[in-house]
Amino acid sequence: MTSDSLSSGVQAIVLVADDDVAVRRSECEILEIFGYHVLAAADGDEALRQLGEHTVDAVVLDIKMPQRDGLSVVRDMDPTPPPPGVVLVTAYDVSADDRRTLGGRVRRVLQKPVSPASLVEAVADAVTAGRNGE
Amino acid sequence: MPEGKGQGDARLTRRRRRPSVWSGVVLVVIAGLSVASSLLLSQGVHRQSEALLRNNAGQINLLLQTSLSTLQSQLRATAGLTAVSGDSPTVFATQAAGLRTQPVVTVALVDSSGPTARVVLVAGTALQQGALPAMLAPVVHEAASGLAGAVVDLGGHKQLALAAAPTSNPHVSALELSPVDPTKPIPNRSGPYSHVYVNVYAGPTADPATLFLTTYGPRPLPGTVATATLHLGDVRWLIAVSQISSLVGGSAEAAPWIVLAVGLVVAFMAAGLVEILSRRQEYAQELVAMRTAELVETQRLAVRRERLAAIGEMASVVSHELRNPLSAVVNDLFLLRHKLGAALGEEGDRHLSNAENQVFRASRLSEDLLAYARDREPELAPVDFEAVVGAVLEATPPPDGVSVEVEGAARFQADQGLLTQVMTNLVTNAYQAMPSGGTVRLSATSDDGATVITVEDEGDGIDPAVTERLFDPFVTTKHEGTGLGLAIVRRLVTAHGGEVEVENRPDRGARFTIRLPNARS
Repeated sequence: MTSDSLSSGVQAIVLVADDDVAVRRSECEILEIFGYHVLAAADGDEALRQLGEHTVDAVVLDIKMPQRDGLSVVRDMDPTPPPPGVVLVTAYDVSADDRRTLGGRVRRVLQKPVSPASLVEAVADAVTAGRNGE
Repeated sequence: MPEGKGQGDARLTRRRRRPSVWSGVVLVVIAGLSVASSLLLSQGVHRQSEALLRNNAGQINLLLQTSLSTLQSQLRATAGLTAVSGDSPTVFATQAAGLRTQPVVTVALVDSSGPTARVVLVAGTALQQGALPAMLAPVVHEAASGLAGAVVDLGGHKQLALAAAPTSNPHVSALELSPVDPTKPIPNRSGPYSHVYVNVYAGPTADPATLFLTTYGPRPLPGTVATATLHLGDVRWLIAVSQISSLVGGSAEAAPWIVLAVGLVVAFMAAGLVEILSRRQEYAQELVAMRTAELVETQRLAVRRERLAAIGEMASVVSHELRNPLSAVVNDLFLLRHKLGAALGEEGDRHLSNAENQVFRASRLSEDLLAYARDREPELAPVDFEAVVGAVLEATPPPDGVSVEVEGAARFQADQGLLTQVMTNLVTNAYQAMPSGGTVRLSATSDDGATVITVEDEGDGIDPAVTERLFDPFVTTKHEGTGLGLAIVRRLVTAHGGEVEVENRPDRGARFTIRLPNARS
């Protein structure tokens, strides 16, 4: 199961942004088990900062966060380097308008609670997309 | 609610009503008073009529008495003068001519000084000179003290015999005989007594044998009869009178009937008025009762709507607040299983599986809550019913023993995602209604007006007691389940502008029917 992140030879970097510490911690641990290098952010601002400091392949973003929400993070990501593939994880609905606005950057929208298998599968897809600049 | 008003009025006017008690009372009281007044008036008119009749009899009596008195004087004078003149036929003839008003009248001079009375002189054909007929003897004998009279049968003809004797010569009497026929009435068509029938009897009683004058006939007089007795010397005559036409006047006779008729008309009109007022009052009361019932129903529905809205709001909050802890628990259970691996052991694996199942249940409840609470506008696009059903059956295949039949290849406008959820919930519901197997039938028909989708099962059907609340959240007839499936169905169908209802099929099982408006693609 760790082959997804290692197939390219370089360990993929995934940013997990969620204000709920229990969720964030457990998602990080799961992704680490599957061979990803995982960065964590507790809110939108921190997520943007991390994205500025590191080259990230995929982002797992909670939508509802203090300071800056996940949708805002997606909109404000620096577009010059190929942006990472985005997996939105939310306890709320994402409107059709938001989906259209965010366009191709968002690979998946997952409803909480997300099964670990779904999470890993969505992240693998996002990493591939992020690396290929899709 | 304008439509409620229309229905209400129709319901009220259609009802058959019993007449009110008060209208009956008014009718009886006024009609009774009218009848009583009419009777009193009628008695008064009758008494008045009797008094007038008696008055007529008295007047006729007076008239006859005067005539008889005059006749008596003339008879006495005839007898006296003739005797004084030595029974001179010339004097007698002169005197008798005044008494013989008609040729049939006979006047005779009778001498009763001997053992038998004897006719001395006679003018007329009823008697001859010589012996006086025996039946006239008592009349002549009685005349000695004044005036006497009787009806006698003389030669086969009835005659009224009147005799008078002059005071100077008690043995001489003047006798007048007038033929009478009481079987033939002599109508009095004009004059002051033309409105009464008159019978005159030559005796003190109404003996038909003594009847000598009638304007009616030999039978007893009709109606009320008033009588008067004539006294003149030895003469006792009975005068009987009854009315031909009203003596008190037509309007007085009609008065009781007019009072009765007017009274009855007033009674019916008053009763009708009371009935109308009573019905109006009853109508108003029923209208108030109906409007009150409608208000109560409206209020009940409003309370129910508010309750459902509150449930929806709470469902949304609870669902969102559950999702983060559930995510963490799901993840940690995964990590626990991964990290312990073989060390978990059989018992540990069982406990962990149990925990995973329960978390799965909680997740499903959370999803249902969110689906119920979600306020989402349907995104309408043409959908193919068979394709939707195909996807539903692929995701939720029928359990063993259950088969699915699909009819209809309708295409219509709907939100495919929401319709899929609706059909998934109904199909799952149908599976669960048939634990021992059966057939689920799905159908859809679509025309210009609406799309009708039905889902039928062969289960035990719906308890009528819960039918109304079946689509409310947390109402379930099953042991497991969140009680939100049908509530979600109704919410999504309503969001489409449609409606959903359930009924028990005639043979067995339940039928859910969805109607979506103007949905043809």
